Amino acid sequence: MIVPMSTVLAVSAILFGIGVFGFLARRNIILMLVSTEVMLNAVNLSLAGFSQHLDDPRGQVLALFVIAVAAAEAAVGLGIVIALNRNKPGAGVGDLTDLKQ
Amino acid sequence: MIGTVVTQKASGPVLDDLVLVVPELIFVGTALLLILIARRIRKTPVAIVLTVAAAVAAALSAVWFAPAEPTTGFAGMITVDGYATFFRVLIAATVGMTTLLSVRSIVGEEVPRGDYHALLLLAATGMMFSASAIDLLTLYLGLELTTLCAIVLVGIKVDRPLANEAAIKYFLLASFASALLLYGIALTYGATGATDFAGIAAALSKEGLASAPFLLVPLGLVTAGLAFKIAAVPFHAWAPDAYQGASAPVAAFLAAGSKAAGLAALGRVCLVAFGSETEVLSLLLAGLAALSIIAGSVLALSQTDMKRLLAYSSIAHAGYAVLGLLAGTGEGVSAMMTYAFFYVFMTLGAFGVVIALGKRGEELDRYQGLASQRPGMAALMLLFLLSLTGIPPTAGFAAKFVIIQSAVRADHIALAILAVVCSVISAFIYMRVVVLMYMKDPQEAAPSRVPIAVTVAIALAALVTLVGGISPGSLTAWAVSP
Amino acid sequence: MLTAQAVFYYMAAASVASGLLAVTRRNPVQSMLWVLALFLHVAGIFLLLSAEFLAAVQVIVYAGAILIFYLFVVMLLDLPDEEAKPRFGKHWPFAACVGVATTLLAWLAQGAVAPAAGRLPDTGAAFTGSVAELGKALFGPFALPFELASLVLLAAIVGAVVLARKRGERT
Repeated sequence: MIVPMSTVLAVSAILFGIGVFGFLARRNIILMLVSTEVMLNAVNLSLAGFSQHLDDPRGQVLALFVIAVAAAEAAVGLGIVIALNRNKPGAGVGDLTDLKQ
Repeated sequence: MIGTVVTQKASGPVLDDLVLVVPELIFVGTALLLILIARRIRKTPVAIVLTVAAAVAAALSAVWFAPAEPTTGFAGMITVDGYATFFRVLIAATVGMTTLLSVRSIVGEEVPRGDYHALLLLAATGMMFSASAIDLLTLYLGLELTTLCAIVLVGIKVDRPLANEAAIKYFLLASFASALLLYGIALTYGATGATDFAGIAAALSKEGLASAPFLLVPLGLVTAGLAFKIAAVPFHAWAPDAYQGASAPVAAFLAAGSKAAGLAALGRVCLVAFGSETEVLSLLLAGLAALSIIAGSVLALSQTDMKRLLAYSSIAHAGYAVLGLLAGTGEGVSAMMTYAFFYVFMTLGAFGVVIALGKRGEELDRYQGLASQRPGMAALMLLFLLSLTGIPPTAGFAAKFVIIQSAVRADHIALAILAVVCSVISAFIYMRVVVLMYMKDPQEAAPSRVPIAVTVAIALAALVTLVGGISPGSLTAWAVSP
Repeated sequence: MLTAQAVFYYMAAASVASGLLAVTRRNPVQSMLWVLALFLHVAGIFLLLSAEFLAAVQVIVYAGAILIFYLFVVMLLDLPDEEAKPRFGKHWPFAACVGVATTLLAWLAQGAVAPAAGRLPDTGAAFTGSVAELGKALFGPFALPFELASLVLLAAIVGAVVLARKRGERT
């Protein structure tokens, strides 16, 4: 094994934490979406790591499906962003306060 | 699926497997047909008829093709057992009733009919798969299909800023939650080397939390991801906004269908995959249930928007349903199934009345004097509200009875008492509507006529709510745990 | 061997650095470029983990398709006053704490689950990560999830068309 497993898992953990931080801290909708992509990359990294570690294709297959779903999510998410921007140009999450009472 | 599928385990010809997914195939086929002919049926009710027919066909075929013994198919990806059949029928009923309820909200050019119904059917397909999944991968994909379709349905009226806002909030929180769920799945896979429930259970029973306490992290992440789908506190923040911003039929679909599918998934994961960790799991679930029941009941008190009020009520009901999973026994899961069944019909009924009253139905204050203007509609609303509170002789009482009984059996006496107390609190919420309807004078003209389809759906919900209250066993005797 | 390890550590460090930069840049376009760097470095790690197909998909689908899509939308929306707005919400220290806590928890959990390999039943055929094996898995035992993923993509296509339509425009 060329790659030390513990380091792969640590990188995955750090990336996941970065994604969580970005999602919670950023106020720009697109950058929040980007943060979830970082989280998904962390997931894929650990899946590929486990896959090699366990000598089992399941992890890689799972990672492929994660990428497919990420593509679908991006399409829907950006569609909503475009629709929102048409009605409220330049809105961030901070401006989304109509649904409250 | 057809053709040169080489299954590793010799699971028989592919056709045998396809028989297991007939209801799903009906839904997918109808959805594809609707997408193909979407332009031609813009001004006709074809989409409604087709969707209702598909729902009926799916419900019938779910029962008709149900194998006598639990049968696993597609190399251990799904199983069709009594549990799956139960939820399939429930989901098909939800789709049919939602379609009937949405006849008015899709009039005009605002909503593309073909796509609307296709998305409903695809969402239901995802729900059915997550109810029969016995592999974390199928479970994830099924839930993701449901969530994506639901998000689009919430935001489908693109010209309305409220719908945009609801959709974007739902979407952001859903993608965050699904990332958490995925990380949980990845860690579970790393720890057990399996993604199928049986394999996970086998690995956990060999080396469980006792020897590896950090298994709590994957366990917690998967539970959190699923708790988001049923909108249990503290993963509920999306629900009130999404329900309020969506059109009322879509909100009804979310409240009934999404919740039923999420509960189905949570039930199977807790009982089968994580079955050996009941002690720790029941602590997590008890926390979710207690917080949901309290927050749902208390926060609903101050709402003035009916959809938002029903959203908080649905959060509380998710908490009640989770009580059934605390014991980690088949009996408890049957109680959860009974609860889910009756909850779906009473919440669809309550939303149905909201829909029947049109714009007037969405604001609490405008219920004033409804009883003198539309006595029938007011009486039906009274029935559904009594049922949501849990007062006999309605199905809500039967459901609460079995669920609290199962909490007591699992030695969660404090939680059972909390559930009863919060039922009393929730009575204030629902009775507020009743007081407005029956004891105030009308302030505005009577609402316009209700479309026949909406009346049919409400009547069906009322029938189940009444029959379920008088003899609950007749409807849910087939609630068998996996 | 040593070279490969050096390459791996570079990839790991670069992934973390570009991930951090991606979520903290003020300008969304700069963020996108850092995410691109992240995706490419993660693809590099996939290669070292002998997941060649995954690396290719990562580059083609993630870096190629998804990211371009994001960039398109960012450019399309033209957010001029983004530079003036505060980068983070007021509660960012809280978010940072949650992020660090998540990392720690995840790292501890990963450390605890990693030695699982020894306990696993030996499945016989070792998995080398070749495309052929992956293809057989995808269309064999994973045929149903594969079809489900196609439904997810179908729903996304319909959804994107429905959501991005203009006022009064028919789909």
